[in-house]
Amino acid sequence: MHQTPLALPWLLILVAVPGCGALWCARLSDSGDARKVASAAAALVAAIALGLTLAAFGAPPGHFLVDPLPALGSSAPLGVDALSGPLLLLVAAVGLASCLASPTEAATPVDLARALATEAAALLGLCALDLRIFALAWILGLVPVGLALFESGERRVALRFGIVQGLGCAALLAALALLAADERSLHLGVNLSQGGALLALCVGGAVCVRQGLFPLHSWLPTLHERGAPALVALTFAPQLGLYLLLRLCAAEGGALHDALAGPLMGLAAGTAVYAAVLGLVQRDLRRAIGWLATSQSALIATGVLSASEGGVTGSLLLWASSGLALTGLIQAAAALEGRFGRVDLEHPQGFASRTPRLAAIFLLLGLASVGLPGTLGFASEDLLFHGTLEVIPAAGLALVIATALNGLSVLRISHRTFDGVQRTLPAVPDLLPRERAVLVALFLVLLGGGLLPGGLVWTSARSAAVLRERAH
Amino acid sequence: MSPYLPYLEALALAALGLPALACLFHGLASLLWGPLPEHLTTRLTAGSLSASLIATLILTAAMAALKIEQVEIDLGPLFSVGDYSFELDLLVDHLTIPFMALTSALTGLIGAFSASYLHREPGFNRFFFLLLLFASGMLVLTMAGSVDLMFAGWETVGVTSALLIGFFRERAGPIKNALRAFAVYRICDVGFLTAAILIHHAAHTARFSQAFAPCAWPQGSAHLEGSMATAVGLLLVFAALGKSAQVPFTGWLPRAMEGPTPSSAIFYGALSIHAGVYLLLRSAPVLDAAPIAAGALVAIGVLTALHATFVGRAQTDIKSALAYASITQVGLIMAEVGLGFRILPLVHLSGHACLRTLQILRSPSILHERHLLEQRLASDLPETGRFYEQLIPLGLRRWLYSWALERGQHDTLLLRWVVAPILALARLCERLEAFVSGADRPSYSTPPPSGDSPPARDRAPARELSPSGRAAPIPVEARVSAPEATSR
Repeated sequence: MHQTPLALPWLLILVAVPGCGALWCARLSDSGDARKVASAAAALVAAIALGLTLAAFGAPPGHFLVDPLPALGSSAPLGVDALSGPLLLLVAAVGLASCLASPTEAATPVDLARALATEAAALLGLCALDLRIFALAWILGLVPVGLALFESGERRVALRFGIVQGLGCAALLAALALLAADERSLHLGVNLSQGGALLALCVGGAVCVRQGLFPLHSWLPTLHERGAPALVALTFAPQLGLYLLLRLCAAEGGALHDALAGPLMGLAAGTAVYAAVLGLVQRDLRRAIGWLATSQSALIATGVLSASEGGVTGSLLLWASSGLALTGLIQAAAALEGRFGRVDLEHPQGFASRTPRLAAIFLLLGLASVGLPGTLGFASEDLLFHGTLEVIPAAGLALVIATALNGLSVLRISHRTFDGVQRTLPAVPDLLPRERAVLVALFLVLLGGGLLPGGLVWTSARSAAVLRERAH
Repeated sequence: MSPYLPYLEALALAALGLPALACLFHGLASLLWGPLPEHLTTRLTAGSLSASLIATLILTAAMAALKIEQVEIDLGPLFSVGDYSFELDLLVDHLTIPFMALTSALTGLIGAFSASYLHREPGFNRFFFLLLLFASGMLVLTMAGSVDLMFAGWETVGVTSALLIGFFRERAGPIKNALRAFAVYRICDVGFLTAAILIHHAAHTARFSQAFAPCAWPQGSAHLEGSMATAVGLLLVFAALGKSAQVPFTGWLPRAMEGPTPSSAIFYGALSIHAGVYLLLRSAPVLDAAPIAAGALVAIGVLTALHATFVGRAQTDIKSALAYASITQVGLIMAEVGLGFRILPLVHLSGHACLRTLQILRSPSILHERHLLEQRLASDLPETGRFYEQLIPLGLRRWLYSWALERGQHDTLLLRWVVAPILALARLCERLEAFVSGADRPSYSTPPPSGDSPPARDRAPARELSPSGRAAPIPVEARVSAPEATSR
């Protein structure tokens, strides 16, 4: 494996900035000040992530850019390549959008501190070259979410979240122990070509939990329903379970891939359809978005597991597309909730009469998340379907059906939320300038990526190629 | 190669690009700065669609004069990965030209009609954006040289159709019906997408000119054989059934008439309803290679025509009757396609689109004219169709009447046997999910709506003066009863 040291420990700085921002926010008492600090930290992270991504694409194929830090085992502890670079940028963009757009009620200093801590953990996980650091990031990233659920007063939800995530963490640590016991490399940049059934079970279990695959998926819609918007977006967008899968066994040829691909692909395709169907009967707006996210997350996992060139590239694109679109949807839902309280989808609420711009951007982001032609989602789903149907037609067909149902779900959510007549609505402002700037910017990125997807597809194809190179 | 080919390509690009650019500009401007003024919106629409029509007419004349059968424009791949690439390939041939002309001309006319019809309507800006988006989507659909690009246009048409059905967002009926139509579209789109991917893998290309080589439409032949051809053919037929409201998916069309009358005319009288026919005509070589699919298409077309003509005769409102009349004609056109005709369905379709658009646009005033005529004659106008009715035995006539009143129970059967079990299972699963996650249901601060208030358009509106000093037209839905379908 080739490593090129960076001039400064930029990756450490990338992780430290949101970490320090989180500590600073936690000490503040004023929400306005906390938002300024958090936004500044998130903007700095985005700038560093952009620079690192460009540098990673400038490096020769297959090279890691590593921090000039003491080696951990045989390699540097933190590194970035053409696969992790764009993901760092995605997480940074989601973090910035969340800090800027979260409504005041959901952006208290504690909320923002937790969001930044989650972002720091996600960035650490994506930069980690060693499985031990990755496991640490995995566990640390769950702490703010668990604390938020625990403090929200719903102990049962927090307890069940803790149990499921505890299982996931235990599975990951068991996989780590198995690898260490066999004296095998703990380096994440090497595709595992060997692995027993127990190792496959552990890795598969951890991935199932973190990705929200059936039957360990219930925490994901519940988190969307109960969590603060920034925290939810930053827990969903990094998709650390999928990242682990990509690093360890995405490319064909390895024993671990052979053991995991079939069962996990079946689970992922089934979860995509199951979540899409459940999305159609939701009564709560945020929970409905949660099921949409669960279905999208499963779609991405199916594409990655197909190990085909088109499937993996489409998945990586969909990862970015749905990450941005769902961040926008989560923030739009939070903005609505800040104005009108919890949104009940049982009856048409008629919010468009008060917030027409929010209604328009909500619908556009929703349709973008399910592949409206002209947006990035369309290109990514096109690649994903072609790649997956090529390998396993049944799984590919399931993805097509899931996407069709997700589209229906988006239109239903939008109609029930914004259409209809509600005579008792309070007079509230439409989108605030900061909310509007963030949501419109997110949509424009998705639109630009859809009208001119060549560059982004090339980027994702390059990332997918990195995996294949490592496999062989 | 003709030296005039670059000019022809430029004309084709202008015909497609101008409405698309206008739509993009309109959408972005509305998103960034809020709704555009009415006069700017209408000028943008009229200008772009008129220019598109002029480009289409010049292109047609030039192709005829130069005896060029088809113009293929390769704009290169939109993106590509490995062996797969999404080609931006446009194709203008004998099939495309009539659709291009119909799209630009009818959408432009509808735009001009709607400028006064929807004057000061709260959703004026939204309507025109969706009209431009629809025109762009329809042009992409018809000019697409590859099945992938055609799917992009197909999806765009479906989304705009659903959004326009639900245009009057303050009423519960249009919202529900928009969802129902969109559900049919999405389910049938699964057929299109799967067929597209199968064509790609079987023919190793998505381009019509290569997959259905070597001749220009309608003489090409598909590079598909046996069971693959049958599978692709059946999937394409399934996709077309949804978009063109054929049996068993006829129920959504009369409900779709809840949208504004101009959009009903353009979508369900003229263009969107024929998108399924266009798909099947474009992929006619697949039907030639798949007799089972062609046979199924003929059977469904005939069945639909019979069903819709009986049901249409029992309708009590003009828009529902016109909806079923549309379905009848489209059923016949489908049967013609299945029987192997190529030019006949195209002529039939063009005539039907123009006639039906006119009828739907005039539908609100037809009642007034009928009453006026009856007043002048001092008697009822004679009924039509009595002779044909008498050919049917009385018992059968009663059964058919009952069948027609219930609309063949298509919707009821689909709801009871397909939708309801899935939703019931989903609700059961959701209860289990809530138990597993341990979450209590949140309390909602907004009360349920206080009933369906009388929609603004059903109240007698005050005649207001427009800025030009003319009296603003009374919205048509306020003058005539809403489609009877709304109460079903």
